This record gives sequence, C-alpha cells and structure tokens, in this order.
Amino acid sequence: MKQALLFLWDQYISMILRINLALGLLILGVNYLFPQVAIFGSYLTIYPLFPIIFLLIYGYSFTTLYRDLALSFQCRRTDLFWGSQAAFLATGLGCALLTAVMGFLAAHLLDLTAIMGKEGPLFQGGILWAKPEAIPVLLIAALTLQPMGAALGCLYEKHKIITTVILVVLMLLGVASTMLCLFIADGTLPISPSVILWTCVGFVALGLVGELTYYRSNKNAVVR
Amino acid sequence: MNENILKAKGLCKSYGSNEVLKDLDLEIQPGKIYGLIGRNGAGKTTLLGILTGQNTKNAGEVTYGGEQVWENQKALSQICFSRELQPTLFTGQNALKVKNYLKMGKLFYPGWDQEYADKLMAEFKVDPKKKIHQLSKGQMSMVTILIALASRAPLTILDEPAAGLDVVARERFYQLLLEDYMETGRTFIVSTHIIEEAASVFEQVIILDEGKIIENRPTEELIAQFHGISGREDVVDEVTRGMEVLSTQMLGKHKLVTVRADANKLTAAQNADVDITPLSLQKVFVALCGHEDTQQ
Repeated sequence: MKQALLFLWDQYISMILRINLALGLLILGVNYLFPQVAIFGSYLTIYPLFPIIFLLIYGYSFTTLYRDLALSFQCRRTDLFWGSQAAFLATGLGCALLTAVMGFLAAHLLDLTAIMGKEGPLFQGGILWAKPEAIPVLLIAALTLQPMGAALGCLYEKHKIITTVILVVLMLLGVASTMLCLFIADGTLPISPSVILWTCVGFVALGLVGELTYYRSNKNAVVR
Repeated sequence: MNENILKAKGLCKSYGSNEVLKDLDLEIQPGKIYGLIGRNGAGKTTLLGILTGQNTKNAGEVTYGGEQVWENQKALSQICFSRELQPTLFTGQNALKVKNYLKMGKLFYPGWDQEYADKLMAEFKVDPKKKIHQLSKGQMSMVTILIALASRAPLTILDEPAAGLDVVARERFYQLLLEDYMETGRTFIVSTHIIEEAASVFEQVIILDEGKIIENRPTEELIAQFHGISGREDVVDEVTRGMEVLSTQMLGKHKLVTVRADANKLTAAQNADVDITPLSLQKVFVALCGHEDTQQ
C-alpha cells in the first residue's frame, strides 16, 4: 500500500496540484501585470471552476495511463484501488481548496473593476465560493468527478468511440455548468435549496456508479 | 522445496474465440537463464503477463515459491517483467521522462540498484530528461534492459529486449546479462525472436507453439536431438526409417531431411552414404514450429 500511495503522490496527486496551482498563479499574474488585456480577464472569470472540471479528465487518465504504469511495476490492484481513493480525495479537496484560494486572492489582490471594466460581482467564480449554499455542490462535484472519469477510462478500453463521445458531451456539460454557476454567482439566476439537493444527489449517484465500474474493472485490470 | 520456483499449471487464456494458451504447464527453476521462443502470436507476451500477475487467466494457477502470484505482494515484489516499450502506444510510460520512469523501479523493486542504473544510463547514453516516446526504438530497448538489470529482482523477465538494438548493442546486452547472472545467480526469462545470437546465452529453452509449450529443456540437450541428413533419396529414406522426420526438401534426386533422433539411431546412420549435420537452435525452432510454411 505504501508503494501505491508513494506512486500516486509522485505521479498523480502532486502533479495535478502543481499544474492547477501554476495555472492559477499564471492567470493571477498576467491579470495583475496586464489588467487592461481583455482575454486575460476572461481566463480569470472562468478559472476558478477549471480545476474542478478537469478532475474528470484526470480521473480518466488515471485508468487509461497511470493504472497501467503502476501494474507494470507489479503494484497490487487492491493497493492501487484503495490508494486511488485517497488520491481522488486529496486531489478533489486540493482542487476545491485551490479554487477557493485563487478566488479569494483574485478578489483581494486584483483591481477587478479595471480588469472587467464594470462594477459588481465580476470575479464570479471566486464569489461563488462566498455563497455558502453553493459550496456543497462544488465540493461534491470535486469529489465525484474523478471516479466518473476513472469509470470512463475503463469503458474506453472496450468501447473507444462511445467513450470519446460521452467524454466530449460531459466536457460540454461541464462548460455549460460553469456558465450556469457564473449566472448563479452574480445573482442572475436564483439558487433554490431543492436544485442544490438534486444536483448533489445526481453527482453522488453518478460518482457511485463510477466507483462501482472502476472497482469491477480494477479487479481484473490487465497491463496493455 | 518450492523456494523461488515459478510454476504454472493448467493455464488457459482466450481473447474472445481466440484460444491463446491451452492447458499449459510450466516450471521455471531458479538460477537459470531461460529463452522463451515462439512465432508471432504464439502467446509469449500473454504467457509472461500471466506468469507475472499482469494479465488475467481463464483457468489454471501460477505460484512462485509455493504462493499464488496473483495479487500477492510478497511474490510480486520478487518478479520484474520489463516489457517492450512501444512508441505508438498511448500509455503511462510514454508520457514519462526517462528519469521518472526509472524512479518507478526504485519505488517498486526492493532490490533496486540505483548505482548500477546510473552506470548503465551513462553507458547507454540515454538522456534522462527525454520523454520515453521521444526515444528511438533502440533507446527504448536500452531502458527496458536497464530496468530489468537494475531491478535485481530474483526472477527477471525481459520481453523482446533486443528489438531495435544494433548488433554491437545486442552483444553488449548479452554480455551484461551474463555478467549479472554470474554475479547474482538470479533467474532470467528472455523472450526473443533473435534466436541465433541469443542461443549461447540460454541455458534452457522454452518453445511455445500455438498456445502450448512443446519444448522446455536444456539448450544443448535439445539441439543434440536434431540433425539434418542429406544424400541420395533412396539412401536417406532407408537411414531415416523409424526416425521422426520434421521436414523434407528435394533437390533433384538429392534429399534433405530434418530429423529428431536419439544417438543410437544416428550412429547407425553415420555408416551410410549420407551427410549428417547438427542443427542450430534457430533451425531446430523452424523445424518444430515452421513446418506449415515449409510445406507451402
């Protein structure tokens, strides 16, 4: 188990967190230095949700790339499965935390009015984290997207075209969800408790299906 | 005493309707260099994958030191299966830098020899900062050799280690393999298509054909059983009566046959007007596995 955890820390967890941290710092940096460049402002607007959406892709790469690598070095499937649960938790919470920190930093370090050219809740993603009612959805999304991605990676081994289509659709849904979050954040759309509840239930259900699929696939995973 | 003996019993493996391994039994004794040879699609990589717990089986069992290999950390940590790296395959390995790939070896193999790995890296002139997919075919083979040798695993398996290596590098590989073997006495299984060059390195040869092990014996003992007998057709027919004839070629009235026979029968044949020549391992392999092509 120790080897599986060290492998996951070295190849997966730390890499994902480093990439997201670097991306966040880069976006903050360019906006700090060049507040008048509109395109950088757009990146800033959508950044806070990037790390969470990309968790789906990371989960997918876990079963299509990293699992193969670990098993080819004689890692036990059981160790890899339970190690990956810790990894999913660490990266999910890490990315959620990173999103919140970046949102907070942007709101406090940058002149958002200058960047966006208008008053109001401009840095919507960051402000979304300030809305307590939205936090459960974002956290549950962060925790369930990787198992979903891992399950898609398992599916890809058997049905490449179908999986690619599903992945593209999910990415589009992710972008649509981001837009929705932005509208919710700036108050354009009201956010009701029942919507939050059912969204959470949906994520948990899909996450559990993902876990089950990944678990079953992992039991007899084969090195390609 | 089961220590360090790898045993496979009744192995069966199918991919859909394609039966790759058919009720296969195999025993690998410690402290030997085995050569695993077979034609393309014979099931070599599948067999090695199952022996090392990296592939699943439909039936049968694999034990190492008397314990199941599948999901057994104790057994798995004693085995290194250094696979052929494929540049076209979208795998985790290919996305890694060489130095990070080698870090995996250090992490997973308890006996990993970093000093030796560094020495081989310098000798092979492989840039540790390059990603695996950026390496040439030969350099990829060098990395697989490096992993296998530096793992110091008691049972080390190499799948096509010489693929893409030039003749000088292949010679060096066999030299390194023998040096390591002399030093550690560990068990090696080397799967290869370059039979002739490797023959002198293999202490024992395993021949896999159509999902079954058709030979598993010391190389010299195997080669000693096979001969080519040539001469006038009627004389050759006479002397080979009662021998197992594996292939026949006609050149006018001159006949050349490949036979499998014990020493007594060959002694009798030596008195007749025929030429008897020993066969190389490659010729033995062709005689055993290539008969359908010869007949065509």
